[in-house]
Amino acid sequence: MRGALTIYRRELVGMFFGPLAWSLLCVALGLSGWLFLAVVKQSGGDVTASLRYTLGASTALLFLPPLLTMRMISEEDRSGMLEFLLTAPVSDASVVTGKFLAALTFMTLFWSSKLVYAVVIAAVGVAPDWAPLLGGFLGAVLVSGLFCALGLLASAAFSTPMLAAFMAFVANIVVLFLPVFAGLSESEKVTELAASLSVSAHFELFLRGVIDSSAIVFFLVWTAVALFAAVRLVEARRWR
Amino acid sequence: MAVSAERGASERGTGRATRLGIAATVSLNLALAAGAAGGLTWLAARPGLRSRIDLTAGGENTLDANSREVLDGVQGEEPILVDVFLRPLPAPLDQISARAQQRLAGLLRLAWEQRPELVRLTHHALAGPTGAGETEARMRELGITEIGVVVVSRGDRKEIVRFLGDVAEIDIGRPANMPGGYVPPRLLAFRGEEAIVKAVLKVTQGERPHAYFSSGHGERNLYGEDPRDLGLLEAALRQDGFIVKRWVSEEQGAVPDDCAVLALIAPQEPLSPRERDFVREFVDRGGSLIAVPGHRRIAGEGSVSELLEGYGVRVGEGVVSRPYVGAGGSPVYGIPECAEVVVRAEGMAARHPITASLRRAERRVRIVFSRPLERGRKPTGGVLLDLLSASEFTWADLPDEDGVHRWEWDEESEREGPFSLALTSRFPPPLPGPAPPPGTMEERPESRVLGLGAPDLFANVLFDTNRDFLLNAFNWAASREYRVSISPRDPDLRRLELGSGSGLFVLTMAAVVVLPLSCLLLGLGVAFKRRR
Repeated sequence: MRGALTIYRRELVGMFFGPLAWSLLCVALGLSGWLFLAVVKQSGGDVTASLRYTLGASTALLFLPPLLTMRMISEEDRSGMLEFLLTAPVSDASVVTGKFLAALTFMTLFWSSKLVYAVVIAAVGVAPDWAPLLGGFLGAVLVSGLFCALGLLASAAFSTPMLAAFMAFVANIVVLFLPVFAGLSESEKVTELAASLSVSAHFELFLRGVIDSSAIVFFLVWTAVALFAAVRLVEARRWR
Repeated sequence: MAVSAERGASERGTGRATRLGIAATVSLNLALAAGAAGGLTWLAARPGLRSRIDLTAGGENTLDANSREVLDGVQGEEPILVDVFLRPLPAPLDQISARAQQRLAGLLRLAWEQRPELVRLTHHALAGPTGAGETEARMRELGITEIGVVVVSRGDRKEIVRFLGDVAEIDIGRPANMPGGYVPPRLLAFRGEEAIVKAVLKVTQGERPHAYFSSGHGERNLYGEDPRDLGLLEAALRQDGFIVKRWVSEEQGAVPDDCAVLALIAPQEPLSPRERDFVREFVDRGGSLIAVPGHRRIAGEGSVSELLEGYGVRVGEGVVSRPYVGAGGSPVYGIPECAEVVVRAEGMAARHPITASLRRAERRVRIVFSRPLERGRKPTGGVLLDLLSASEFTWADLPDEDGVHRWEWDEESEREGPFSLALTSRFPPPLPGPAPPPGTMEERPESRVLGLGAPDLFANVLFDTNRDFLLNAFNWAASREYRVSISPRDPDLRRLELGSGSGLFVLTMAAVVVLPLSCLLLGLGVAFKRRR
């Protein structure tokens, strides 16, 4: 755990003392703010619907985690830093966990901007329904966790950051639109299986203001699987 | 040289084998982890292990308790198919109908979430080439030709829920070029949950219960369209799953065995002793009776008053009246409008299945020319309950010597309110009964009697106002308590004013300028500091 925290701190420092994180945040927040205002106007000022829509905007979910995590393992492997890390007195799991937590912190920071919108809306006199908004925020963080874990997995699996980012992006699309792809199949079992593994369906529960234990378990479990896979791939690098 | 080449080949072979071994180990680990994750996900979604909290202020993700009970109570494994054939109405109703249909879709999704293994929800494509053929095929299979409906079916039973009428009532408003100016369309009522739950009940319950209306004593015309007739009630009961028939004892003899509810609505002549015995025997064997005396007071043997008194409901003298509220709010006496009493939530029994949902929805029951009811001697083991009550600001107006009402309160001769306007009596059937009538949800443990004081309560003229009360009353009498009205809930709308000088400017600045710019400045600051 201590090792993971050390890596986490190192990653955060690296992230926020470099231009990438701030540039990403600036662009993402600008686009997200623009989208939010467009939805506010489109919905005739419906605050709850607009905040939910912005929280559920899958574009940020598709792009940000791969861009954040693409360099975390593959770049360090190319630069030789990973070998140094792996010989340090921290476990492979700590390395992956620390990097994952750093990426998740960034995503949490990004999603918390939606809470800032809500605070501003409350300040101008329309109190949003806070409880479901916080539920949606929790859901967005959980989905981001899953996508960051997939990004780390891609980063561990591929040696170039761009390839890792691309593969993570593809994986995110597959995971997010699994029920749509499954709908192409005529098998009812495939459709049912895809529905039970649907990220969007589980995420939608949070966006509607429902805290569902099965959705929480779903995200935690599959995030853990992706992280576990990333750890095994990092270990495999050691054995090469 | 030969030895070196041999060693190299051996190392290459070992390396490949090692890599294959590592890949196999990693793959096996991942497969096991994925399997375990799949198992955990499956377990977490099991109804017994799953818990759910609805965080919304209006409880918009939660079905009404009655609806949940109905869905949970559905027996058997045969699925309930819900086929949705909806598309927004044409302009100017497009937006309002789309919103209402969205609400309905949300409710259907909640129903599916309540019993995912039982409810099969299909939204059919009604526009574009995708799925149009399948939609048409399904419509043919269901035998429907119209769109704008939701079809709930199970086995060979099906129920059509119409968006307009059953689910939503929409006021089309007024176009801008009409006198009085533009009035936007608006949603008058949304009864989606009630309509869907009723449809589920209709396709999952047993046979349709029979409601018999006595005939041959000057009762109101069951099928008539005049204001005082009962045509609207009859149609609504049929739509609600009842089979409505007339009971003419002269022709049919005793109350038919399949009768679930017998209604004696305002007979103008007394029942014959034989008919009275038929009714008593029916009730004493566990039947349900809804009875209301006519305008013309008939006392004595064979009258509704006498019948009701046997079940603890005594029909009093006079007509319940109240001061009519005139212009400026001043009380007006001496006009027939004084006999119109509106019962609001506070005048309804809080926990009775007939009135509980009406109270919650703050609906009203409109009653005219009602006799006051009193509690009499209750049947053995029975329970009497005041269902509807008139306030203390009422009096029982008595006719003068010529039989004419003056609608003036005479302190000396006329009683003051409050009065009961509807009384229920429940008691264990004193006679052994036949098997419960088909259509009831369970074995009936008690006889049920509902006595009312106002014959016009059932009439076409008041039906729209009193529809839910009357349907609830018949459903209660038929032991279908689940089929009571479910209060509609308004969506929790929180809107930001978009006009000029509004908070939109502040929000724009915060969302598009301040937040991104502060990130940019922080990034520049960090970069500048690092360079130094």
